Amino acid sequence: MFTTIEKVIFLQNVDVFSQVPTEQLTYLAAIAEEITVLKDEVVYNQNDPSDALYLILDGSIRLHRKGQEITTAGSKDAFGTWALFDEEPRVATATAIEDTRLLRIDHDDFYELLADNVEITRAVLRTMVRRLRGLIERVRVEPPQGTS
Amino acid sequence: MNRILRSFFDIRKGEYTLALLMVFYYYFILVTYYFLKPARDSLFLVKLGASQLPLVFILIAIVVVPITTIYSKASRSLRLNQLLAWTTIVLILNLIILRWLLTLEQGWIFYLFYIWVSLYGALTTSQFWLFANAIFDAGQAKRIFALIGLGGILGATTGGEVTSLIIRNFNVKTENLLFICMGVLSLTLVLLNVIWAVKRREGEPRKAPVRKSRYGEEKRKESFADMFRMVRRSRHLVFIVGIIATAMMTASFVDFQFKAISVDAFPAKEDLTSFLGKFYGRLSIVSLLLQFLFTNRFIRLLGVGGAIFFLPGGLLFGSIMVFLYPGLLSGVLLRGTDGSFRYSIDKTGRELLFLPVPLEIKKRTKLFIDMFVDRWFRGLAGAFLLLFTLVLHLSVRQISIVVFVLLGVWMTLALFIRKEYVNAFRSALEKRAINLDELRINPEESNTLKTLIAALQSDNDRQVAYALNMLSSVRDRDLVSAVKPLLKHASTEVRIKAIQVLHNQENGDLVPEMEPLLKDKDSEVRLRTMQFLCYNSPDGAVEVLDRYLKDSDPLVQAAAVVCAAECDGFDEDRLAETGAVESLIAREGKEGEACRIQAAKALASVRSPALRKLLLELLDDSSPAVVKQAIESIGKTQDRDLVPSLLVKLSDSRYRADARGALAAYGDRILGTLSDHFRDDRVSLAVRRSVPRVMREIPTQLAVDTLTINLDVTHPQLKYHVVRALSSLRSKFPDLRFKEDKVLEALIEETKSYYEILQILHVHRKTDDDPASRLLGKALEEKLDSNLERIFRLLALRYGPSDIYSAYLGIISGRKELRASAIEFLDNVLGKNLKKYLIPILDQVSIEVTVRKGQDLFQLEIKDLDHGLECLIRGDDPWLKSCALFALGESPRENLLDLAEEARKDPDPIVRETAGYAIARVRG
Repeated sequence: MFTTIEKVIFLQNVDVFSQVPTEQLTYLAAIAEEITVLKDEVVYNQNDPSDALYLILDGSIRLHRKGQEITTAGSKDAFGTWALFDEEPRVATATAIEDTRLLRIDHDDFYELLADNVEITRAVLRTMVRRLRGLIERVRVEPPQGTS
Repeated sequence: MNRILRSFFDIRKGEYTLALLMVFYYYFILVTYYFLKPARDSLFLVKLGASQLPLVFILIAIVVVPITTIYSKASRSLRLNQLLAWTTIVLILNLIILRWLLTLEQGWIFYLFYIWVSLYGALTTSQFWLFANAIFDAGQAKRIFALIGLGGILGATTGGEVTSLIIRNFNVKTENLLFICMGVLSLTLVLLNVIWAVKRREGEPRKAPVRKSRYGEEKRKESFADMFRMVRRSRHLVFIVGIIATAMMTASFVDFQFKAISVDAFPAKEDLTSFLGKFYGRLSIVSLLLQFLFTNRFIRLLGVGGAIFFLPGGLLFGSIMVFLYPGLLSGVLLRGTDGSFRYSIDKTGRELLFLPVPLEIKKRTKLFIDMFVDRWFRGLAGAFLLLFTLVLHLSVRQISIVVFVLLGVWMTLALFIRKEYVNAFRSALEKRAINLDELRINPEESNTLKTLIAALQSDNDRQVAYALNMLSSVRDRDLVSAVKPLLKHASTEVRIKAIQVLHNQENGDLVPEMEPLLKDKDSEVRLRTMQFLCYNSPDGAVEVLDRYLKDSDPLVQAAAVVCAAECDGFDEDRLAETGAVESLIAREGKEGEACRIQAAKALASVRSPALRKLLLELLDDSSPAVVKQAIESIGKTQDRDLVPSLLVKLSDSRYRADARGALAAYGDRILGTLSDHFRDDRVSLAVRRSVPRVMREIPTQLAVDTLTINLDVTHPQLKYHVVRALSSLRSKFPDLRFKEDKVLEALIEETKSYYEILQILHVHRKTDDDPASRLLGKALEEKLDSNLERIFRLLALRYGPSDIYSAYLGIISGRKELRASAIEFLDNVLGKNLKKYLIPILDQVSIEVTVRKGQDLFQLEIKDLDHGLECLIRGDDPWLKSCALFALGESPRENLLDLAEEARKDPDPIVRETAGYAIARVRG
């Protein structure tokens, strides 16, 4: 069983929470449920409703679509992040490569936390805006193909 | 007395005292002005002659600028009651000096006196209305201001008549009227204090929130060019400004003619004073009669287009008379027409012209008129008069020709604006640009009414509801047939507003058509219908309620329960006896929730403790909507016994905002209880954290003082919430005062904490790079950041939010030049005592230097990391405590094990958990 502070150390690694002050991460840690999936067990299937974000405490997860591997996620990696922000179905299937311990943050719990904690909301929005700015910058630097 | 007031002016329970006090206050202000006005005119005209009037008109236009500037500066640094009190004291002192100066009999003194009295009139009346707006909200203003206006007119009449009476019968010298004014003004000082005390007993007087940035207020300053451009963009505004400018010039010419004729007719000073006093006093009565008896009828009959022709039309007649028979009678007719129409029908007409103008633009246009148009055109009129009288030597009679020209321009503009008005109103209605909260006149004018009735046919629900809103206080026969079909409208909002409009028509014939609406699917529609039936049914409210309280339909019964609870004439015991409230609360199933919501709503209006206790039951209801309504109702009851149950709801995120609102509704009375909860360690952190948020919704001095006292709280999160609440109050309500010594104490405490964390961070940086260490480092850095934010928020309480926020942004920007100018600014602004603590933090030459400075200032010395961890574990910050304990466990330090053992008893669960983890790690 992980302590709150250990969960905080893991949560710091999730990109979308990178701007959240560590003290506020304890609130996220409080809603993060620790679960274990056995080898070859499916965490979720492609087209399943997106209902949670996962963070690997130890072990590894294979993300694949129609038999084709997209990536492998290892310790401290997060997957299914976008589930927190939209309700589109899962784009890939997540399967445990070995016995794996995960932190699971439920979509509804997350929103309840955001509604209650403006500092976390602000930090998450700040990260999203930075990402958006980064994308805009990239589009500016790399003009569309075919233009002279 | 109350009944009389109620029947004429819709003064409600609890408003009588303040309304009457304000009436007396305004009455006495106008009494003094109408003592001074005839005295001013007669002294000036007899001593210097009417030929000097143009010059004094110009001088008035010139001196208004510096006087209003000084006044507005004073108004920024004083509370409203202080501002009024000090202005009155200064005016009394002025009167003493002026009375002495008048004995010197020198020409310039009469100029001075004339100008002073003109400013006196403008200043006292404008600051009175400023005060009235702070005392009453917009809804009250709409109902009560007419009564206050009546008090003013009676004051003007009394002033004028008494002046005439005492000059004629008691042989009083005109100059000695100033002594009477001093006495009456002193009386207004007493009244002012009584009004302020009464208002404070009811709750803090309103303060207009100021335009603000995140930290700051500072009103936007607009240039003449900006305002001119804004006016020029709208044809409607150009015409309005044109009419006002022409009217101002005409008024100056007419005033000159009247005074010249008067001094010819009454060459002796006392005779002239007596005549003018009587004239001005009676003019007010005529104006009052016109306003009460005819204005609304004229406006209904002729519309705004007709209303704005009244004054120029009347002046045209008066000018013709002066031109043909230039005697006292014609002069009285001319000036009388001007004075009586200007403040009755013409004023209402002008208000209506502004109706389609969006509020923000209206305010700016009025500012433009007050700041520029008024002064320039009065000055211009003075200059023209100088030219006509001193250079061209035109007689009073010949000046009428100039007045004819001005009236021609005025009437042409009035013709144009008639067409423009309808277009502008229609467009404003479509855009819903009229701010209904600020609407202080009823749109009963025929064109406006027609346009509004036409808008009721619109396909746009919002527009229909908006038009109904504007019609909510209008009584007109045509309205019934236009509004009745809307009772079946698909939009709930439209149905509700339609009932409201019909309610105001007080038409009992509509009862049968309204009854089916009791079965409406919306609870608000059912409730409004029940209210309609109670008020309009020939059976009377009690019988109607008795009948529906027994209705078989629980939803109809629910509406009757709410109505019965709110109805003054329905006995509460009778309601309790029916058991209707309990039966609604006990109802389950599909309609259960709606019934329980209505029951909760009804309980807001009951006084019986037994019935009120039912709200506690509803607070634990399974439906969030019922709980929210119960919370709101508790707030309305203001019952102190129910406060603890509201405080508990602060810990539930679903109801926190509602609980905050309900608690804030108690106002000052609850601040002590809130403070006790805030300081009580046994109360959950979630509740304690919410307490400052509640206090910040109570914008009173007591709330500020209570928050300031709580600045000494040691828990950093709680302290942050106190500081935030204070800075929010500071930026929204700049009139509130913040105890400087307490703020300074808190600032020094914050800097001490900053230096301490900085030292720990300094020794920590020399240690290993492992996750626990990195987490501690990051937590320390974050604490420094939030510490700095608190420091700046506290500074903003002392030095004003806007500049301090800019400085804060400069400091955290990471840009060298911005940081340097922020430090430069603070170096100039901060007091010596603060500078020595703050500047080393901001101007960090090197961390070592700052650390040493902290050691010198506070005798703090963190020798090594163990010492640093010890300080953190013994400290007040639960998060830093947890991080330190975690670091202790990850790089085992047996020497600190006792501290970890102690921490296992900490009230914070994360601290306890981490302490257990650390001990297990150290012990292997």
